Amino acid sequence: MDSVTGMDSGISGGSGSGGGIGIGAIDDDQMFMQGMAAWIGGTGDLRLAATAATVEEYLAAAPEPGIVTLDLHLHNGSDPVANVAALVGAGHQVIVVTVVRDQAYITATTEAGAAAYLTKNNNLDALAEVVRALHRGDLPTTPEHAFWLSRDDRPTRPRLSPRESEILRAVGEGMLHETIGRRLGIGTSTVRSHLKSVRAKYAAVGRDIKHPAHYRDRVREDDLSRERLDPNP
Amino acid sequence: MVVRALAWLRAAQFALWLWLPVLDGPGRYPPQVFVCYVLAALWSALFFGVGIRQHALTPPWLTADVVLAVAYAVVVSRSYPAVAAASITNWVIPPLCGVAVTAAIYAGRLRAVAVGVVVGAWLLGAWPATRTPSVQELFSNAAMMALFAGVAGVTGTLLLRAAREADEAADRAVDAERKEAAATARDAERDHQFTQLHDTVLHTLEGIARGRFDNDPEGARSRCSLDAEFLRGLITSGTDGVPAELGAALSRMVRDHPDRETLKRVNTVFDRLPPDLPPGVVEALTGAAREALNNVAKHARTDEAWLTASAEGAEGDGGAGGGGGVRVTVVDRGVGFDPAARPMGLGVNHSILKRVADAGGRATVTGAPGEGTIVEMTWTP
Repeated sequence: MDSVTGMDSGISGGSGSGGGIGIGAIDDDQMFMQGMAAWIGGTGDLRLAATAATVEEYLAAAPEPGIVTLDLHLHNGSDPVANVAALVGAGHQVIVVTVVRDQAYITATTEAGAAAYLTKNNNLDALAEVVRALHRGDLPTTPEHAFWLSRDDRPTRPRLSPRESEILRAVGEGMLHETIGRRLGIGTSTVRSHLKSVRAKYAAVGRDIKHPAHYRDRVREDDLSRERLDPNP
Repeated sequence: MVVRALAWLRAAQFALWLWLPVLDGPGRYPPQVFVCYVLAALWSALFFGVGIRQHALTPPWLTADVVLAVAYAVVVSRSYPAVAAASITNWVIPPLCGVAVTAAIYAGRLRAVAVGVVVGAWLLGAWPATRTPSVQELFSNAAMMALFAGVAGVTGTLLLRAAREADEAADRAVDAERKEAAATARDAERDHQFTQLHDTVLHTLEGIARGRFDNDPEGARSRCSLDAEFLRGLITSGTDGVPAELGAALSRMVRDHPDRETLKRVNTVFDRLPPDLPPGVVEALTGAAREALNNVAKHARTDEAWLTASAEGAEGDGGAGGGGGVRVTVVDRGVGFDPAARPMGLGVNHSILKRVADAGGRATVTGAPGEGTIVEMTWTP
């Protein structure tokens, strides 16, 4: 899968099941892509609309804006945050998937406007849930995403209210929104609006960053004290 | 050591004169001679008392010692009849020697000045003796003071330097020993980590390479997925690339948990755990987390759980705390329980709450019907 293979061209006008939610995938791990293609075929309501090995290839095919999964560390050495920014700039909703959890990139891609974050641990059910939530118009914050945002201690992080931090941590620890609401004595919808507000604060940081290179500087600065696996050894 | 010796010397110098009034009768000397003697002796006791306690004679105290010596040298010597002022009956001679010696050893760059001032004070005080036959004694005593001070200065400096070098050598030895111990501990931890990797990931890979899973792709998949999760846990658990012991222990516990048939998915995330938790704490938290997962498998009617562990500092700091504490949670989204209706089982009470409390931490188990169960454990040093 070295080039954009239009399994279906574009997002709309799907085959067979009368549409369904079309998703794009950018990944250079063939095994993962094959597994994902097979699994998506079995879901019934999802459809693999387009795939590519790099962001440039994907955007060159000019697919309609839609939901895209992106492997954070592609082997062509492209900058993960710039990749996210390019896709978001073209109107896509980006689901970031990583093999290794890497807080510096999780926070930076969130600022760059990534819609959701998941670990590549073959939990494709979780991916389906995220895709469906995005399709409904929600902005899902997965437990892992919440965990790493709640552990964000960069000096440049957005200022969260104590309540927002508390909710973020509880989501990160795997609690249901209902449980969090009951523990804090607030409604489930209030929990959700707090999460939305957290994401809005991160996105606001990203909007102030005009040049993709600035993301790189941020990641590097934030990461100086942290040992990290080299994504492109 | 040197301060103590000087203190004894000074004491002896004052004691030398005690027999004179006894021998000659107290009426022979004017009262200021006695008053100054007592005051000077008391001062010397204070001076050396503080010096011994602080293991040093500091510049302000040395200055005071010299200034007072000048004062009593002049006052006392002038109180004697001119002919006796430069003789051994004048009690200031031995203490002035002591002051000069002390200053010569401790006054650093000012030692020559200090000794000069003391000898000068002696000459000034006893100068009337130049008109008497004891003029020789005046200059011989002055020469003796200067000579003693000179010899003491050289010897004392050598002694102090030797002592300092010995101290530095001892410090270096202790430091080297500490580094050695740290290196040994690091090696032990590395060996431990290698063993962990060998028993898990390598074992699985070798099994696949030898064809052990050829007819069992499902088995291979689940083993690989367990090992991948284990590696992820190791990678994110520590700082500077060295996995924290608690992260390694929890990762291993999750991988080898006996209920993994039921509990297919344990979402595990760690963040920068403290590297130096006491072994008892690591054991208690890991054991309690294992028991919490047992409970999920037995009662929650779900195949998924969340295990998180992160460094925690002061209460409510929200972010990554640097206080050396840790927070571990086990959460599921299963059937939950009604805390009012069902008292804690023995397993929860004994294997989670008590175990963590015994290790000095705190644990709570909360839940509600239909909302799963939440086990929260914290430990702070």
